[in-house]
Amino acid sequence: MLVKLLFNDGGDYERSLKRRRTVGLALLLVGLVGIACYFLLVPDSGLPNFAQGFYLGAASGITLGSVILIARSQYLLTHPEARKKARIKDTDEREVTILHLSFEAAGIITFFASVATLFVVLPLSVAAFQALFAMMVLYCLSFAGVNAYLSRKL
Amino acid sequence: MENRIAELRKKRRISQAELAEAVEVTRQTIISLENGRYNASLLLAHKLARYFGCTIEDIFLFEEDASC
Repeated sequence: MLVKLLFNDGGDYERSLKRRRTVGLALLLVGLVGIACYFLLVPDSGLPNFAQGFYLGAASGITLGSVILIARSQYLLTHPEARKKARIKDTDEREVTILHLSFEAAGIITFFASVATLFVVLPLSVAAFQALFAMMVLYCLSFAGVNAYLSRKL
Repeated sequence: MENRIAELRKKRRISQAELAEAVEVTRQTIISLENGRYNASLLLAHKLARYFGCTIEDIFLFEEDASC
């Protein structure tokens, strides 16, 4: 969904698919680096089990997701009939509106949940509090930046 | 906002899927438009008007005196 939202190139769907395929290749590289780290670096690192599991889970997920993204993009690029159906589905304005509203709602929920979590986390772990607080500052700065950019552009 | 999409579509004897394909949206979007759950963008309204050979005002009812 995120890929669909980020790499939707207006009217040129074929170009969007090529960009998605490129992003898929980049993600595949990231996933493979993660898997390589898991096998080469993690065993001697002394990381706890859950951290090792995170390496393997995240790397496998990214690799699998990227392979699906590449395969789907490639299939649609080489099959015009399927591409036409996928284009209608991907660029359908109601679907896009639903996607935007979902992201908006998820953003609002995440923000307020994060504020509540700050109160809970502070007495438990200062490092976790700082990480969460930094993410919220980044969220606010991103919002302000995008807002200023769109105010000028639109 | 009310619209006359269902009425015009039935007058032409075409299915929701055929109309959806003609204006390049999903069938679910046509269903939502016909039920009044979703309002079309200006671009889609223009496509629908062109397809039915009407003006946008003839399809999307701002006033009661629509005719097509």
